[in-house]
Amino acid sequence: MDNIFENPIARMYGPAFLFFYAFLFAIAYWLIKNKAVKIAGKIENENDVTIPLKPDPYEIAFIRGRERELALLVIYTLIKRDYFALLTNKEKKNVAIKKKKTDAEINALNMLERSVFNCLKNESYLKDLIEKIERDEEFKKQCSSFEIYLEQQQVIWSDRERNKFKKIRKGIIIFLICLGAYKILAAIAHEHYNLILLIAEMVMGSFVLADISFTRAFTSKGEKVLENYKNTFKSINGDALLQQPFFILQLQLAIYGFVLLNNSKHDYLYDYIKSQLTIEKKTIDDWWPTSSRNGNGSCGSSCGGSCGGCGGCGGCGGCS
Amino acid sequence: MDEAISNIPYLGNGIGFRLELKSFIYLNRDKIDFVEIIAEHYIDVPDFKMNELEQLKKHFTVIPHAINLSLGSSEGIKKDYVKKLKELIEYIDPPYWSEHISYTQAHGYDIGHSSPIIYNEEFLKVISGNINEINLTIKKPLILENITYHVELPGKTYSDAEFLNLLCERTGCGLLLDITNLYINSRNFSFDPFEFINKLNIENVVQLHYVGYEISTTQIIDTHSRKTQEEIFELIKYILNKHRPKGILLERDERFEYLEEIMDDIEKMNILLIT
Repeated sequence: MDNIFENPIARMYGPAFLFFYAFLFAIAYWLIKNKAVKIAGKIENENDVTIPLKPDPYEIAFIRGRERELALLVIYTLIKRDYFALLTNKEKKNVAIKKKKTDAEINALNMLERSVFNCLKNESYLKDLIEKIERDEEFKKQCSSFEIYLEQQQVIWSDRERNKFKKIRKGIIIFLICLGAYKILAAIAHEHYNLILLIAEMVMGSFVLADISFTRAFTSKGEKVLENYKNTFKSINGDALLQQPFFILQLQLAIYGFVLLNNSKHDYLYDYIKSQLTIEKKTIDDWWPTSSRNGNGSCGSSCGGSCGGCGGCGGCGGCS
Repeated sequence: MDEAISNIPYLGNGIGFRLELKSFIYLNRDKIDFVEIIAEHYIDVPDFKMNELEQLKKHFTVIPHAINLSLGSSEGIKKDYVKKLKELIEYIDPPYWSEHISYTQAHGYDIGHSSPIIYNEEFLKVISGNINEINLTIKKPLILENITYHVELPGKTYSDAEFLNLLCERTGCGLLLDITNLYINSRNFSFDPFEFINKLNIENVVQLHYVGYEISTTQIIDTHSRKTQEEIFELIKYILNKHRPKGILLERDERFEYLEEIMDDIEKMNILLIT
């Protein structure tokens, strides 16, 4: 029994082991952060990225910003197509959306657009409407079809990759905990009982490693897809954007986001989105606490709590 | 005609790739079969330009169109330049490449413009010699483009069509017949473009260029900036009735904001190619 505690690790001087152990945690941190994602999500034909003949702005918006960006783009599309009206108050601090067409006039809309259209009863503040849309089952269903397709294309991470990543992370943490436990036993065997720092280092290090998640919402192929779009469709800002043909406008917003509206006549919309609707920095684990396609999970936005449906927003009488 | 030239596959309807037209070109791939790049835009360039080219290759057949080889220079061609061009052409792997029947350098000085050569035996020997030397280095078939001229140079002993026929015969090259250039020269120097086409060995024509011309106070000029006029299309129709080139390409270089004009030209050409 004593033999298992007779080796350089077991015999290592306490403070030296603490440094050594911290060094191992640092390496583990680097490995999980940088390498585990690549190992878990190895992409085949990563460079085989082409621009589709007819790019789908909704799909691009979904890749870039998931449900929230998609919902925003659909709302803006409906505004431009005269299904919704964009309202703001005198100070242009608040933004509301008002329905301009009836439920009988939506034949020209696709299922995704209809799901968004149906979320608005009459009028609502944009923030409330977005939250309602993100909870809407039909909208989630539409998002899940994007998800499934994009996962198959290896543009966004799938559950398989996330689970593989978690396994790698778990394996590394278990190894380090075992090493720490072994050293504790060795110290006790050698009648050293000052173990507080080692235990603290072991627990804290493990928590730090367990907290590392996929930091990107899309795969390296997904990055290339977006980069390709950006290289092909150079950004157009401000009012020049609003004068573009509708499809180009939609495509530009999908690729670059609503930041393009800055310095346009709709810049208050960008300011509002920036201040009220920007998605908090989230990790990939947070995006899918349980997959939204199961219909029982969070939709991935920061809305979190329930707000009791769209009807309760109280209108937006103050808008002009 | 050289066997390599006759084996060139049919390409269809193309457009000159310009950065300003990038998104337009990608969004209209169902109407555009191939693109032509200015070769010099991709020689000695940073990585992002090569990535741009790589992306183009994935989506289109890419034809390199050189503008600065100076085939008509009597002091010969720059070997290091040919080497760079060769590397680019090998990277693109096109069915053929093209250059102008002109000179852009004289006594080591870059003129900065395609200047016409004199259509006589002496220049025929110079340009044939230069082309034959290039053909030893660059194995892909070369096709040669006629340019516009605004003064008729003295010493001309061949007609335009005769010169082009002889040049193709001596070098084995094909012809990139710029219909707009032909039309402009015919109007500025009062000859019949249809007669020119009749005299031309039409089998040599591999590709056509076309774009609208502009009328200045005294002459018609080739600005590559206008919607293609009906008389240009008439000439194209005349050629198509005699012979089917491998590709026909719109060469627009200015007024890119008039996308509807560009689209009209492309759609019109697609209809011509179908009928």
